[in-house]
Amino acid sequence: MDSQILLAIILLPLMGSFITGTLSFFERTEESPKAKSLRSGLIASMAIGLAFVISLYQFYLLSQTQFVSGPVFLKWNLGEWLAFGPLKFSIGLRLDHINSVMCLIITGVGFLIHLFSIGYMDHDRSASRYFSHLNLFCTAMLILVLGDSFPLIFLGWEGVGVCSYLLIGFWYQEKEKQAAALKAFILNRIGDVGFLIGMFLLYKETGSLEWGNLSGQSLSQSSAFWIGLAFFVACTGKSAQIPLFVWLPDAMSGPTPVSALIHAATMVTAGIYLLLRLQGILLLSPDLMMIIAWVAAVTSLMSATIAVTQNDIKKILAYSTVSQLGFMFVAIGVGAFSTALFHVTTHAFFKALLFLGAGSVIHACHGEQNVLKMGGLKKYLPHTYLTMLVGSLALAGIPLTSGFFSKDEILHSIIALPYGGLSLYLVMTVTAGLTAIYSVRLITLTFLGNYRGPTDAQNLPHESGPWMTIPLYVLAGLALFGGWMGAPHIFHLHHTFNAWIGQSLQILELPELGVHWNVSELIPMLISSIIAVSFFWFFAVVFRKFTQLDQWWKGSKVFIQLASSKYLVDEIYHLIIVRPIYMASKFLARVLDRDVIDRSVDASGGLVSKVGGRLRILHSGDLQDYGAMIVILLGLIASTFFL
Amino acid sequence: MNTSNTGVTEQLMISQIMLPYLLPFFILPLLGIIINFFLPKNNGKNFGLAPWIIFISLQAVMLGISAYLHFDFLPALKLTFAAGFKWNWLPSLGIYFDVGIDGLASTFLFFSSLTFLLISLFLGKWFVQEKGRVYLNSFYVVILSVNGTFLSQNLILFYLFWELVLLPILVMVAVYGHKDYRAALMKFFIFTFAGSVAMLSAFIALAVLNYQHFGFWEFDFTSLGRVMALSTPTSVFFMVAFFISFAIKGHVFPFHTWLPQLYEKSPLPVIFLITGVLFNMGAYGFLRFFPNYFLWPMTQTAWGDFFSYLGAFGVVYGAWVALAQTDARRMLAYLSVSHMGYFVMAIFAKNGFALYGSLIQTCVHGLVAVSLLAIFVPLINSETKSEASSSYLLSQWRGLAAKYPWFTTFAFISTMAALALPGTHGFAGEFSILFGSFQEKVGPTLVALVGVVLGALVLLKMFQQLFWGASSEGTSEKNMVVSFSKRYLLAAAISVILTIAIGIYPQPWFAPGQTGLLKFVNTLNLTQR
Repeated sequence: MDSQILLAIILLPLMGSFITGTLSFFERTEESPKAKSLRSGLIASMAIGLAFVISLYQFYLLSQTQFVSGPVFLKWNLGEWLAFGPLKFSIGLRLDHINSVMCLIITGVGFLIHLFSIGYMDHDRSASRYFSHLNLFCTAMLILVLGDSFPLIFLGWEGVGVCSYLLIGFWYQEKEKQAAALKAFILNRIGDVGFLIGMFLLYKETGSLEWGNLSGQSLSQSSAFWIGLAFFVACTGKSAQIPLFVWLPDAMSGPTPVSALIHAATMVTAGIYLLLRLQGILLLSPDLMMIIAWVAAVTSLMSATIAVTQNDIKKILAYSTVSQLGFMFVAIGVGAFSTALFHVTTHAFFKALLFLGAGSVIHACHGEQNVLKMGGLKKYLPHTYLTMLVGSLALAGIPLTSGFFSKDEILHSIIALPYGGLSLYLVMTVTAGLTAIYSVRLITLTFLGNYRGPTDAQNLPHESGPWMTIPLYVLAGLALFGGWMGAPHIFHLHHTFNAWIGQSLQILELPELGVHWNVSELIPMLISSIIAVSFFWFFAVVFRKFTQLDQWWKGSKVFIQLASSKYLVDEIYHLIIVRPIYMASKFLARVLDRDVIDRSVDASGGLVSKVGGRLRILHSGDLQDYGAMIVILLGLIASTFFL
Repeated sequence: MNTSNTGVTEQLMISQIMLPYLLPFFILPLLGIIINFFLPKNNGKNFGLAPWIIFISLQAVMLGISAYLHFDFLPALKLTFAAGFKWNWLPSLGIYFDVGIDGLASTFLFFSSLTFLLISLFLGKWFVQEKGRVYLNSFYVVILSVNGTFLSQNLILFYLFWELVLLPILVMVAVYGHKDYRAALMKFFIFTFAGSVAMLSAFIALAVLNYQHFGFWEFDFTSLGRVMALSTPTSVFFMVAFFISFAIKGHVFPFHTWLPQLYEKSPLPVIFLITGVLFNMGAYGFLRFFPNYFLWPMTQTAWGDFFSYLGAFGVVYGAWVALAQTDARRMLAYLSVSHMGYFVMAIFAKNGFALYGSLIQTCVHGLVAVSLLAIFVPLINSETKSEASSSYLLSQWRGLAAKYPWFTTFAFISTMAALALPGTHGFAGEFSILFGSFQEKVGPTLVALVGVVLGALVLLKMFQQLFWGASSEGTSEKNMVVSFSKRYLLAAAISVILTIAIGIYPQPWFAPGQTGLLKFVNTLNLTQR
C-alpha cells in the first residue's frame, strides 16, 4: 500500500538537524549553555518525537493492512536516482514488519536519549551542534532502515558512519578523541567496501538490488556464500565483530548519550538488520551460517572477558555491547533470525538505560569515568541506582527481565536448531555467565560500598535533574517488562513478537514448538537462570571486597592481565597493518614516485635538458613578451583562414 | 568531402540555428580580453572591481547558454550527430573550422562553465589585486581553449584549442610562481609537449592513412572510425598514442609526476585551473574518442585489461602517496591522480554504466576539487607577492572549527564529497564506476576499492589537522587569522547546494549526456553477441 507519510519519518529529524545546525552558527557566545541546550534540545526532541508518533501510526496502519496474497508492506517510491539504458536505480521507502519495529526503536529510544541530552549537555557551549548531529544521525539510521534497495540502505549505512564520526569527535580539541573518531570512520569504511562488493555481486547474480525481491531467488550455493560473506564483512565493521570490532570501545570518547544512541541502541544493530534482509541468501549457504555463528561466538566470549576486567564505566558497557552483538549474530548464524531482532529490541532498552545511567553517573561525578574512584553512589544518586540496577539485571539475564527472555531464546535456538550445536551452546553459556559477572561488578563498584572520590562538599556527586531521570525510569520500565512480548511457549503465553515479525520474515520452526514442558527448552532455561542468579548474587559479594577478579582468585592472574590488555589486538593491528601502510606510503612517495617513476619518465624523454635549454628563451619572465606571444600566435592562426 | 549521413539542406539549416548559440563561446572570452585592454587602471595600483564584474557576467552568460543547450535545446532535438556549423579553413587538406555540440559536449560545457564560475567567485581577491589583469586575461584564454576543445569537430581545430590552454598556464606560473618554479614549469612543459607531439603525429598519421586508403584528405572525427577499421595493429597504435596524449593532460598514473611539482610552485588559481579544468579536458578526450572509435582494441585486445589495471593501480597509488604528504598542494595533487584512476578504469571497463559513471565522475570532479581547494583560499594571503609556501603546510593549521563553524561545515561537506559519501555528488560518479566496472572486470575493481579506504584516510586526516584540535595551542595568532568575503560565502553556499542537489538526484544533470554513450552500449552488445 502506498503511504507518503513514510517520508515524513525521515524528513522530520532531517529538518530538526538543519534548524539546530543553523542555530549553532548564529548563537551568541555569551548566551548561557543551559538556554542553548534547552532550545536546541527541544527542537531536536520534538522532531524525533513526532517521527515516533508517525512511526506508531505507520505501525498501526501496517497491522490493519491486508493484501490478497504475499507479504504485507507499505511503500513510497521516490523516483529514479540514476538510470542508464536498461539499468535503473529506483529508490523508495518500504515498511514491513521488521523495519516497523526498528523504526519504533530508533525514534522511541532516540526520543528518550534526546530528552536526556537536554540535561546532559547543559554545561556545553556547543549543545546546538550536538543536537544537530544527533538528529542527523537518527535521519541516517531511519534511511538505512526504511530504504527499499541496497543503494539507499548504503546511504544510511555510510551516513551513520559519518554522524558517529562527528559525534565521537564531538570534543575535537583532544587528540585521543580525534584518533578515536578517525579509527571509527576508517574501520567502518573497510566494512563499507564489503557492503559495496556485496551489492555489486548481488546485482551480478540476481539483477536486482531491492531486498523485496530477494526471497525465492535461485542462486548457486557458492555465489550465495560470497554475497553473504561480503555483507557479513560490512556487518563486522558496523556491528563491531571480529576483526573490525576495535573501533567501538574507543568510540566511547563521545558524549555519553551518544554512546547510548549509537553504540547501543541503533547504529551497531544495523548489521543485524542487514542480515535479516539477506535471510533468503544466508539460508542457502550453511557454511556461511557456521562462519557467522562462530565469528560471533568468539567475539562475544572474548569481549565479555575484556568487559570483566575494565575499570572505565563506559568501556565496560562498550565491551558488553560487543559481546551482546555477538549473541545476536550467533542467533542469526544458527538461523534464529527473529530471535536476533528480539534481542536487538530488548538490548536497545537495557543498554540505552545503562549508558544513560552511566551518563548520569559521569555527569554527577564531574566527568569521572573510573569505577574505582566511585563507590557508594547509591546514597547520592538513588534514581540512577535504581534504574541502573534494573538495567544490569536485564543485561545479566535474571529471570523475567527482558534480557532473560531474549537471551534464553537464543540459547534455546542454538541447541534446537539444526545450524547450532552443543559446543556453540557451551561457549555462549559461559559468555552468559561472564555477562552476569561484569554486570554485577559494574553495579557493585559504582553504587555500593563507600564513596572513593573527592569528598569536599563542592565536588560531591549530585543526582541529575528530571530531564535525565525521567527517561531513565521509562527505559527501566521497558527493560523490566519489555520481554513479555516475546515470552516463550513454556509460559503458556503467545509469542507476540514472533507473530508480528513472522509476517515478513521466514521463521525457522523450533522443534517441539508448542509442546509445553518440552525438555530442550526447559533445561537451557533452567541452566541459564541458575547461572545468572547465582553468579549475580555470588559476585556481588565478591566485588564488595575486591575490585578485580584476580585479587579474589589468584589463579586467574595471567588470564585477567591478558584480558585487561584487550588481548593486544590494537597493538597487533598497529604493528602489522597501520604502520606498514604508513611506511609504505613514505616509501612510495620518496623513493618510487620521485626516484623511479619521475626519473624514468624524464629519461625516456631523453631530450629534457637539450630542449629545456632551447626553450629557456621563452621564459624571459617579461610580461610584455608573453602578451606579444599570445597575440602573435592567435594572429598566425587567424591568418590561415584567408589562405 | 561531406561524409555525414544527413542531407546538405538539413546540415545548412542546423548551422543557421546553432550559430548564435555556439559563437558566444568563442567571442565572449575574446571580448573580455579586448575590454580589459581598454579599461583604465585605477590610480595605477588596484585595478578595481569593474573587470572582475565583467568577467563574472560574461561567464554567467556562457553558463546560461550552455545550461539552455544542455537541459532544454539538445534533449528536444534528439540529434544523432553534433549540431553546429562548418566554415572553410583549409578545405584542400580537409581542415575546417567545424564546430558542433552533442550531448557529451554539452555536459562538459555546462559543467566546465559552472566550475569556472565557482573558481572565479572563490578566487575573487586574486582578480582584483594589482596584477589581477594578467589572471583575468589568462583565464579568458583558458576558457576559450576549453570551450573550443569541447566544441571542435575537426582534429586540427581540436588540437589547436587543446594546446592553447598551455600558454596562459605558463604565463601565470611564470608571473606569480613561487621561488624556483622553473624546474617544475619546465617539466610540465616537456611533459605536455611530449603529449602534444604524440597527439599531432597521431592525427597526421591518421590523415595520411586515410589518404592512402581512401584517396582524400580529411581531419574529421569520422575519419578516425574509418581508419580504425583497417586493422587491429593500426587501431592499437592509435589507441596507445591517444591514451598517452590524453593521459598526460589528465595526469593519469604513471604520467602524473609533473603535477605535484607544478602544484607546489604554482599560485592557487593555477592549481584550481589544472585540477578543475585540465582534468576535464583530458577526460573529454577519452570520452570523445575511446568509446566511439577504439571499441575493438579496448574490448578485444589485452590492452583493455592492461589499462583497466593501470587505472585501478592509479587509484590506490595516488591515495597512498598522498598519505605521506605534508604539503596540502602535493596531497591534493596525488588525490587528483587517484580520482583520475577511477576514470581510466571506467573507460576500459567494457560496461556502459561504468562509462556513464566516468562522465559523471569527471564533471563532478571539477566541482569536488574546486570546493576542496577552496578550503585553502581563506588561509592564503594573496596580497603578498607570492603566497607564502608555508601556509600550505598542513601542520601550520589547527583548531579552525572552534572559530569558524560555518566554514568548518563547508569544509566538511567538501571533504565528504571528495571521499564520495553517498548523498554527495562525489558518490554518484564513483559508485557508478565501481558498480559498472565490477560487472565486467572484477579484478581491477577490487584493487580500486582499496583506494576507497585510503582516500578517506587521507582526506579525514587533512580535515582533522586543519579544523580539529585546540585552536590556541602553539600557533602564532597572526597565522590563524582567516578572512572571508561575501563572494566567498556565496560561492561556498552554491557549492554546498550543488553537492547535495547533484548527490541526491544526479540523473537529470547527466541524462542529456547519455545519447552518445548509449550508442556505445548498443555496439558493445552487438560485438558481444
